[in-house]
Amino acid sequence: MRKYSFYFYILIAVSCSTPTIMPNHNPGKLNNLKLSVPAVERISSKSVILYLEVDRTTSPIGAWLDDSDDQITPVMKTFVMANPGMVMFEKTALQLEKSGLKVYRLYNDQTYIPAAIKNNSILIKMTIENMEFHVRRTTDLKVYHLGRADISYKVQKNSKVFQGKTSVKGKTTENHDIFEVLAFHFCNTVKELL
Amino acid sequence: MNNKTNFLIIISIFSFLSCHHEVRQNIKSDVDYSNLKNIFRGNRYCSLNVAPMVDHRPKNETYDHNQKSASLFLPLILINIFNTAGPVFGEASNYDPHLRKSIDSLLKESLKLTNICSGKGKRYTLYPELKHYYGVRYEKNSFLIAAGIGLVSKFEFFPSAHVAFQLTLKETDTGKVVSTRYISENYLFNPTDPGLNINTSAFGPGAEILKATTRVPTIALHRLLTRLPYELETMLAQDHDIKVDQDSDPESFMLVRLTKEYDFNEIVIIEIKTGRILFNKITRRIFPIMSKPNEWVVAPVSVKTRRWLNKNDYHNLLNILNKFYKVSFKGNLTAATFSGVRDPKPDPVK
Repeated sequence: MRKYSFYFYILIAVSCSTPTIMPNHNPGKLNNLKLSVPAVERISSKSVILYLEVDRTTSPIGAWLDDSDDQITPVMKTFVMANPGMVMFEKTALQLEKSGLKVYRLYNDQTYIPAAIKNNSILIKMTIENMEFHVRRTTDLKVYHLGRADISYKVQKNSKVFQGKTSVKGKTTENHDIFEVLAFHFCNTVKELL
Repeated sequence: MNNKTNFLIIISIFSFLSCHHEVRQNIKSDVDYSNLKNIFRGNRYCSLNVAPMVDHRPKNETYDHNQKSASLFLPLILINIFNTAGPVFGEASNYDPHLRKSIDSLLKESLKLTNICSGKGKRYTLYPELKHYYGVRYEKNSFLIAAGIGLVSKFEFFPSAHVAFQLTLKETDTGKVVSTRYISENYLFNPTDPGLNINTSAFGPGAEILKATTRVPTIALHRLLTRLPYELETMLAQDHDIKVDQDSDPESFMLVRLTKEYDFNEIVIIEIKTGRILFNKITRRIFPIMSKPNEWVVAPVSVKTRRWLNKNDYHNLLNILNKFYKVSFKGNLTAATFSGVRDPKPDPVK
């Protein structure tokens, strides 16, 4: 039997495996990022209304462990089970608050906004076009979280509307929050408009 | 035929049978939406028609697009190591062959079950678009092939699913857009969920993981359907002309707290005058997100009719509550934050 083991394994490999790589997907690009440490700058405007208009996140496809034989780790589970768009929204609100702004969160487009708040606040509408995350374990067993988010935004200030789209990337160690880093970079992008 | 040929034929048949189980699904039999029955206890006087769903999934979700690809290390004549890794999507051909029609009828049947509209009054049409529907798992394989031996090393990760819809609500007669929503649901395979099972053998999980990857989107769809009634309620509530059964003199109110994962709601119903807790339960999230996690907010929902309150009715409720409890709009404009009982406290339960 032993002399046929070669054919046996080849046949199993050919018939059972479906080796695949997702088209246009290259996590290697993210791995080259340097670690980012957020530092919040003060923003002069007084208050903003933050609204996540559309969340098109399909992040589960991006969450996995590399170079590991673990089936599912708590980290990966959090990434998949969390509502990543809303987590990103909340982290953005916290980053804006850290910069000294009063932030009003808007969760629903039929919410009544009091005139006093509406007239004295800048409205930021976010649309998360895409987010992806990776967990990478290096040979020295350090774990890194990598993330990328494509966000389009509308900033309404004094009846003027500024629109834009940005792609933010980040990398953290296991004990830090990748969403926080992405939110920090997003806030840095829009702060010029506030 | 010699022994070698017989051996190869037997192994081929074994491999075919073990690796090509029937995995095609029928979502109508997989999705259970019976828990949607009679969510609402009062009427919203309008009629709702659901237009045929439009399939706007990206092309790579509608055909079997997994591409065979491998990297080759040590390209020697005698020893070769292949390494493949990446997401493996559920094969589109294994999904329900009538996916669009099946989801169409599920949407209609589930909304009919909830009695979201009375069927009389102003006419509305809901235009659903399917944006995403897939199961995916991550897989990593290594093959070592050398003269006389072949080794396979395989790592499979649990499959997850993503389902997303764009909903557009229009007035049927005028075609005016009342509201649009993009709703989505994720699901990660859970071996304790009934009907899902992945047993592994020495050769890996085999066909069961294919079945699981194909079935997980139906669970995501089911969860999304349970959220649909209140998503639609908030869309319909934008039209203040629709008459709704409401409670003009509420005796109780509903507090809602979102859990950290945004997946569950803790719902508490409190008698206004006494502060007595009438109901307290953690359920899978059925309401649209209206606060950050772990924040107690007053739900814009009538306890008596379970209908979504419009702005005016919600503010009336808050004015009543304000006599007994600390409720205020702090950093949240959608729902008032609940911070406890005012002094003097309400009369204790007698």
